[in-house]
Amino acid sequence: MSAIAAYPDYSSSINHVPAVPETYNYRVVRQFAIMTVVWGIVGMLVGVYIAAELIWPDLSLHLPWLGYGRLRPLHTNAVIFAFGGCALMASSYYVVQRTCQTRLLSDRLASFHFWGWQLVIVLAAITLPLGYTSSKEYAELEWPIDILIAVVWVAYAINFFGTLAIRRVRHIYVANWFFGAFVLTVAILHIVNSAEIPVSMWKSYSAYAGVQDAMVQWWYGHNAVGFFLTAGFLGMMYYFIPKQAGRPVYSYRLSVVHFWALIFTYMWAGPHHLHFTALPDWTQSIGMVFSLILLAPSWGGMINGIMTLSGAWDQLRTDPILKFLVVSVSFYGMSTFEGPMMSIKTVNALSHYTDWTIGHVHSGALGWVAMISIGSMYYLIPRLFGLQQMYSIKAISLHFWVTTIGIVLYIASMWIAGVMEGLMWRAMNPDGTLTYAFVEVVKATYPYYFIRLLGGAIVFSGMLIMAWNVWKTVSRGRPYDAPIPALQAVHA
Amino acid sequence: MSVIELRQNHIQPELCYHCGEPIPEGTHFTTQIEDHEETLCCPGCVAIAQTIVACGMVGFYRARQTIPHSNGAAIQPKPASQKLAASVFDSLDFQKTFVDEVASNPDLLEAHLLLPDVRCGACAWLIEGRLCKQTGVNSAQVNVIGGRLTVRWNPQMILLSQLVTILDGVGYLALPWEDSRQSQIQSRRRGRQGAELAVAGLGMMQVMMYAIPVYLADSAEITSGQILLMNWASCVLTLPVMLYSARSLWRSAWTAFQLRHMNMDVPVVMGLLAAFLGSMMNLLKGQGPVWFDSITMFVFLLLAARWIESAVRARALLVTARLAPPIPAQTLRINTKSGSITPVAVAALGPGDRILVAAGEVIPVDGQILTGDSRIEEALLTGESLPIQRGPGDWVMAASTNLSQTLEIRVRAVAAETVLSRMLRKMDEASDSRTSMGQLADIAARRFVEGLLVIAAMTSVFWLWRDPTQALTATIAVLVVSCPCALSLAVPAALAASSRRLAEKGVFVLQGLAIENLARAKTIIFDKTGTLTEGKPKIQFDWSEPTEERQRYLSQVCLAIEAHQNHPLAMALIAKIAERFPSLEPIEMTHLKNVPGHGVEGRIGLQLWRLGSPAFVMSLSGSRLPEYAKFPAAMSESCLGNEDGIQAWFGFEDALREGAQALIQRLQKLHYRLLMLSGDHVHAVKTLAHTLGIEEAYGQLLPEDKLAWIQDLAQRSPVVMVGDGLNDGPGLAAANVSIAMGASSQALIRGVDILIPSGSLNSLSAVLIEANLTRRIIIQNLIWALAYNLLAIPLAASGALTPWQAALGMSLSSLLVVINGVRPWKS
Amino acid sequence: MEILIILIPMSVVLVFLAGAAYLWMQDRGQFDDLDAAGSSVIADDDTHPPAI
Repeated sequence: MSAIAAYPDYSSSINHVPAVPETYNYRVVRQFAIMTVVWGIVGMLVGVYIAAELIWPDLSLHLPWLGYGRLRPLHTNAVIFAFGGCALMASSYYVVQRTCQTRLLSDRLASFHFWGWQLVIVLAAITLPLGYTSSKEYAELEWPIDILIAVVWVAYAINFFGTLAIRRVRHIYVANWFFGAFVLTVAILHIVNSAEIPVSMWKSYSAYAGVQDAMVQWWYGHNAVGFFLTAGFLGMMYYFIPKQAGRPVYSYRLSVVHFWALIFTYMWAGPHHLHFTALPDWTQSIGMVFSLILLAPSWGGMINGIMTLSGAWDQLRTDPILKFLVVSVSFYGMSTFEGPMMSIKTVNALSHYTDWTIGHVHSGALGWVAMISIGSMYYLIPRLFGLQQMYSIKAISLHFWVTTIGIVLYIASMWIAGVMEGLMWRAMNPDGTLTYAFVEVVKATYPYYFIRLLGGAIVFSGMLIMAWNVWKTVSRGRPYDAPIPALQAVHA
Repeated sequence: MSVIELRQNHIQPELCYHCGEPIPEGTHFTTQIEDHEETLCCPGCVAIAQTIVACGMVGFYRARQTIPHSNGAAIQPKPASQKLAASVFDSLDFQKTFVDEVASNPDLLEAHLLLPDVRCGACAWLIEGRLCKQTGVNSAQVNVIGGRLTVRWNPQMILLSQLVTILDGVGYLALPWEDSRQSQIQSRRRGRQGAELAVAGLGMMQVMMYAIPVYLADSAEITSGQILLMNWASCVLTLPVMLYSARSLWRSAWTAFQLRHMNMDVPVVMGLLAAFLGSMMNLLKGQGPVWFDSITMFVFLLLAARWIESAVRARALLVTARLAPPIPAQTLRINTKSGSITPVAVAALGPGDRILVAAGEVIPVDGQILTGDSRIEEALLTGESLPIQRGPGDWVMAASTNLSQTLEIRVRAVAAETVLSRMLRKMDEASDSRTSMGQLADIAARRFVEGLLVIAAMTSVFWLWRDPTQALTATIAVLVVSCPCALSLAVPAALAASSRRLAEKGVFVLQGLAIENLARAKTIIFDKTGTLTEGKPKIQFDWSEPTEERQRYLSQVCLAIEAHQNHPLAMALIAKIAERFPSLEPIEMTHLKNVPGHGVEGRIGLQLWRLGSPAFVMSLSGSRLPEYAKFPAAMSESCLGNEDGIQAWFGFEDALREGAQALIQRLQKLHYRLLMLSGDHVHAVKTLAHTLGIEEAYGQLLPEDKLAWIQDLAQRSPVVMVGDGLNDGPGLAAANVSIAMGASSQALIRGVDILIPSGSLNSLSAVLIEANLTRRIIIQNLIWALAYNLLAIPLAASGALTPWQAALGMSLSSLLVVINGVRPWKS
Repeated sequence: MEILIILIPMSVVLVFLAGAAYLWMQDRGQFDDLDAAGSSVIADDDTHPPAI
């Protein structure tokens, strides 16, 4: 028992004592975390604005750069790549450092990554309203920005994988696998899909033509959902839920299987975005089959995330951060069930091009992506500023309820609107003519658009609560870089 | 104060925050952990806790509380002498057994250490984290289930002894792990198996992706070029499955082929080859079906079934190995000449050496107590957590814990020769399906495979004559669809699962077929002494004359007459007399004669004395038996007498073991034929049998008689013999299944099939229940396999099954039997 | 659908890369002891503020 006392000489002679304790690079995590909140507000504000435009078209003030067509890509890019991207970058940098117990490979690359990514976002925010677009959904940015993205992304990849390579722990925690797959695959997707021929500084044409372009576009589009909006955020789930709950993930083995199964089944589900198009019928059918197969790994992951709390459900009552995290996983389960259902051709015949799709996307984007990001930021921000917890726990709780109510309003109204649209569009008179003119359907959706606007505005107001809470927290703390647990303190 | 003492006294004192041991009264050791002042039990724990906090690893305590598998307590301090002096670890001789060079990096060494205190993931994290921060340490990896640490370090920068000291500093005792190489090979094999399975699974998913369009699309929609492209993709993705995942199948089939000794893998491999080559041919021709999807699915599901089976077995072995506590590597030897006491490595001890084992330590050898009375905990071998009192002359076994007093022990066996080691080795051998099920599976499989190959050949000839385009498909289907797995997989899986469950109850299955034979047996033979009874009889005296002097004289006669007997009753009588009249010398006696089955006689001067059954003694004087029994019915009677009549009566009572009555009743309900065959007096045997309700009981049997009985019974139906493993050697060997109650290395040497070291009768009934359950599962599997094959093979031969249907059917059938085999594993 | 001539081989190559990554990691012992790995992340203590 008295080993320490018995061998004091050994211990002091073998502990190497660095002069300055080595710290983690929290700086870049802080930067991305704060910008997550900022871009979240911007992106959602644009969303609320264009939702309002759908009710009051005159809100565009007849300015082309305020028009729906130009602001909609700005909204999607801002929430996915600015808000979601910053959240992913903040958490992946945090997680990779903490689980590898080492500082980032390069602080300069990290800095370049941060500023480069912000530049991309700002350029997007300028060029999209000005109408510069490659007109590929979720990849609208023009070729100079595409190149910038590629360069920044390579810096990110080098820094992330380099940190993994210099880890001081033997095992690579599963969250890093998900983050790694996200970083790598998004790079490939971006490069393949953005193959384009520039004709001028702000105009280019896709390297693919016709249905080929559509195929590549949705191969990209769906895998962006799979690897940007799913794999990366699953990485967050596998780190922050266990940490916040203080319990290891329900089955670590399952999480590893989950990862590899997802990696190997995701690639071919894309064609379900192109049901009933010029795409060959069998390609559409594969898309459908694999979308259905995807349900298995998705739900495996969801159950794993939620069951992490088994035996400690009472924590959910008191911990609003955990509420955010766990409810987000429930939304993940819901939308990964809804998605495969919508990829069934008969269902798709009704749902395609209706607002049901919008509802589905937002149950994923707000329910899953935004809520898990918000929960993770509430976990991270105090730690990045040397504090125990956020300034106001009650405000987090309020934010949670506001967000949940907003999302429910949003997706419920879009479901109803979508199904209604689908039914009205296909309704036929006995003589074979359509029962409703298109404009009649548009008119019928007004009340639901209004509820959608309300839901969106409520979610947005939640972001303002978050901003206030973050402001208060940050102003009470000060930037803090945690020391990497080292030996210098052993005999202090 | 030990945990056990506390349990008995029902005291609930405050427990040490670090180790969970109670805090001694009057001490006050505290340290700051997170925001709380925590109380600890000793300066050692304080040092450890401070180290953990200072390393920034305080999360260890939090994780420990929330991890469901850990029992909350951390590391219990070990008695100091169990530790090796750290410096020992630097001796090259010492390192030989557990340190290897690292092939990929000549600067590094790799050591395998056993960490008995590792309990949960938090421990592993703490140890890995602490070591990896140390300069000179390249990597550290802890296996929680086995409690093993593999550490790689640079000996130029840090010594192994320093690493051991660091581990000690965070509260973990490190011992050399000497069987590391063997275990490592096993775990690598498991890892490889897992990777093969994973590759097959991923390959299957991918190939399916390219196969589905061909099924889905009608020909107008998909061009032949596109189909060709996708078929080529399938082909490329099938290659790793064929070459990497299926390599164990190739190897096994090739060996079988070389030895001309058909096994299960031969038709599997032939089916795979035929399907792959046929597909390749069609692919190159550009027309005809390809079966890459069937191939990958077949390999994947087949490997999955085998993987489950071997996972169950590996787990069983790990649990067994974990049962063994670390045997100390060092102990104190008493020099018989000088009386001096020196520390010495246990491995250096030999039989006859004398050692000292302090209270609280693990006994490192098998041996006999010379001095000291102590409570010994033998939980490992007996499953019994309550300690047992042992004194001079009693045997103790390696790996039991000496709880209350220092003992001087004469060594009988060390290391590999101990009961524990022998037992673990036997279990290891038994768990290897190849030795246990080898013959049965081999014969059945050969017949099966030969028959199958004939059917496959006939199928292909028939179809070549009838419709050549169908020939390949039908032949592949026949080869693939047959399912010999109930034999090759599910039987050993069920047996392994049951022996694992039994080991946890303190029952060790040393012979692979024992469980199966046990289930078939309908007759159980008990030996009386030491099996159903305690084997330590109590004695009552009834002297014909009450004077002290006369009693002393008669006792002297008894001592003389019994002096050379080794019957348990004779020994008990001598012991009882020695207790009453210490230092009594036997009287001089001549013409001693043993009358088997009756007693002993001898002469003092001219007077003839007899000791034995009342009838035998009374025939000497010609007197009649008394009309009433001298002792209660359960007691067996003996007497001492001469021509003048009976001089003394002795009543022997051997107490029933706990649970004997209940066991017999339960067995009778299960319709076992129960017999009791004993060398004891008929009267006592009958009485005991009557008490228990056993109808067939025979006493006064000589070992030859017993053997004849057992052989006779065994000819009619399988027989289980339950004995103490000491006296019934030939009988145990003649029975179909022998069960030894009590831990003795003699029983192991004689090759008993099942060992119940605790002698607990509850364990005995557990074995019987388990055996029946296991047998039921095996029969279910065999029936399934028969029905499946009878249905599937004709279907396949008739051409009604496509290869993928055949592959699916066969694989699901294998999975079904394996899962059924291990089903009760968790219950 | 000439795009398949690019997409299919590319997918096959990617799958082989992922498979190689898996086998490499398996070989390096990453998946050897999955019981401990899950709790290691819990034990890492990131809650303490600096001693201000």
